[in-house]
Amino acid sequence: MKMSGSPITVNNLSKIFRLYPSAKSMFLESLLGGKRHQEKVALDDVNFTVEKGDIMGVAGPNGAGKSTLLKIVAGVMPPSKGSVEVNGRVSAILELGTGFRDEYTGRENVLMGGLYLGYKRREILKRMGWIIEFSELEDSIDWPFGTYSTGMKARLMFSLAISANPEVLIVDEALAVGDTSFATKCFERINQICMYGATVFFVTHSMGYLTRSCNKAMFIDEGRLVKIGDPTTIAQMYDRIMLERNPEIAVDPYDFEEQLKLDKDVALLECSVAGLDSANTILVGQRIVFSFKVRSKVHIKNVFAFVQLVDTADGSTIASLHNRHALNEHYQETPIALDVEAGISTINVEVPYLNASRGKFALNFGMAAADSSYSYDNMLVFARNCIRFKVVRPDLFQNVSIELPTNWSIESKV
Amino acid sequence: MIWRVNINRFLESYRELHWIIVRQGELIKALAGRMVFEKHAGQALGPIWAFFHPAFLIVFYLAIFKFIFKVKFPESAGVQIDYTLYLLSGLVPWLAMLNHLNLAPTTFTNHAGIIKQIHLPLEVFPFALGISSLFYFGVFLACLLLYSMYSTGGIGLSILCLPVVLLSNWLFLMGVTFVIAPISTYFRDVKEIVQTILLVNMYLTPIIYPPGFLPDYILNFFYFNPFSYYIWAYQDVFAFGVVREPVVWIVMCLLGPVMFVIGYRVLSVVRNAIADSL
Repeated sequence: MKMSGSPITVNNLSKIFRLYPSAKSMFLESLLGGKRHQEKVALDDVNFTVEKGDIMGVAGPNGAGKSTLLKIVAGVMPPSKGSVEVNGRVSAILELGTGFRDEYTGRENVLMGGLYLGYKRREILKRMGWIIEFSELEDSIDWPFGTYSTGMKARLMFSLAISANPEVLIVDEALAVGDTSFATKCFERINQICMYGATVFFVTHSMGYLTRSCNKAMFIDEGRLVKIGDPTTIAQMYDRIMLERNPEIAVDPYDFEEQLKLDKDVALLECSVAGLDSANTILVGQRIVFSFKVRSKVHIKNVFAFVQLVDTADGSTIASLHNRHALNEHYQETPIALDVEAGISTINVEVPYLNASRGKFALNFGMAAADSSYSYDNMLVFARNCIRFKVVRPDLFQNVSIELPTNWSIESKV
Repeated sequence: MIWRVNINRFLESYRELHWIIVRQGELIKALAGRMVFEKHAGQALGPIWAFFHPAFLIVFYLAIFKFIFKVKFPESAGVQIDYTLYLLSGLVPWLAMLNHLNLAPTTFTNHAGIIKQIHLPLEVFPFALGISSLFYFGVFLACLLLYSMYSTGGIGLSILCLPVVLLSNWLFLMGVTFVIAPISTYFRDVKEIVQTILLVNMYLTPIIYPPGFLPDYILNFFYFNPFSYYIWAYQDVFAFGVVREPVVWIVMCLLGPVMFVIGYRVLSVVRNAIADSL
């Protein structure tokens, strides 16, 4: 084997799982031969190197093969093809609770967990004080582990794993548990370990951690290594891809033709949006104008028109805009009177700054006569999902509902 | 030439084994300790049960056969010893073996979580089982020895052979574990098969049958059961005080190391697939 000297070197790594429909088919296959299993490619020809001192973050959608990759790098799962070379003392936290048993005390568990990790009893006892102090569990360390909260368990396990100075630290998602201040402390410790020249390899779904804590990142999708680069690029890539695949609630588009056939007094002919690009996408904070072309057989004075913006991820209405309750730029209610003439008219609704955050949206448009009660039954027009569009934020963002432009400043007194 | 290459590979894998035992000694010890005492964790008397259980079994069998059934050897056997001692000399070691073998199939499956999460040599689990069952052998055989001394009125030189039997027996059990444990990770049914065999195996060895009780042609079947050799040897040590058949002892001495080697080879071959199958 060629020794490259890098802490982690992965060459042409593939992992194929054999999935058997039942234990019986596995038995028959080994006895009689013949293929009775399906193959699932979890990793497909992955190549990369992690250099000394790197904090490498691994991002990717669920089922992309991240955890499989970590397990193979950690040495608990053999690769199907290719090779993984890890140089240095490895400490891996693949799952919280590994080897920790509820019926033993925290202290006993730390001892046993340490032995599992390959430390000597003497080493663990020497570090016990540090571990207890770091985990902030001085009061409960001699209580059974089962009495701990999830956060406390996570803290103790994490403290054990980072108590030694591992040369390679492998972490899977574990940081998601525990409160923010402890997570911050952990990252400080990890950074400290890295300053001694250790390498960290970790999987996360939190792009915040990725950009804040890693100096390198990779994006894995469907078992392939799509890209290695700086964390910000990878985080954007992750966000974009996750947005594209965001599962939506089923949205039936408005059927204009079907509705016209009903031959009601008022019909919606067409709706359009100004401000969208070819992919029906708009940047957050841009001006957007919705236009509704309406044919009416009669003259209707002072109609009641409204637009609803629906987030298709969960079906919630994020905004409801009414002409009689419209807000001006100072957020004061400024009713706008609209009269619909017999014939064809177009109603335009301008939103100067669309500050909905990233997501996919569908738009409902409705119109009622001035004197009618406000219910879906007696509306002149109600068009559900007549427009769909997407809002994106090009730079890094968190998953929030609205975006607010802000002015930041600082005042200091010396 | 080919022979030499094999020898080298053979030695290498045993050097590796030795290294694992030295490096992971503390873990093996801790795991074995948990295996012995975990069963009794949270019980009021705790670890005392680990000692009480075998002692109780012996007293129980003693009461049944000595005082209730009052079983004696037939006159024709021409044996001067107590039947109860004869029975216990085979039965007690068998119960100790049973204790080990019943746990063998779950050696890896019980630790699936650890094996899938932490990189460590898989051998630590069978060895932990081995160490914990040494503890049970100790307790069981100590009780048996006490009864043997009471029954025969002293301690014979044959006790000096006990370490040989025990070592070979232990190696044999380890070898069996090395084979059964990984196969059980693929086929969970193995556990049931093993337990079914163990249920009847006692009657397929010379444990309960007094010499001369069975016709020779049935007795010959016992020679095909490896466990018979250990039973005969234990009977020699604890009941008869003499080596009845030297051939039995020769076979018995070879059985353990041979099974250990075969088992370890099997484990080495299938080792990589274990993590996947858990």
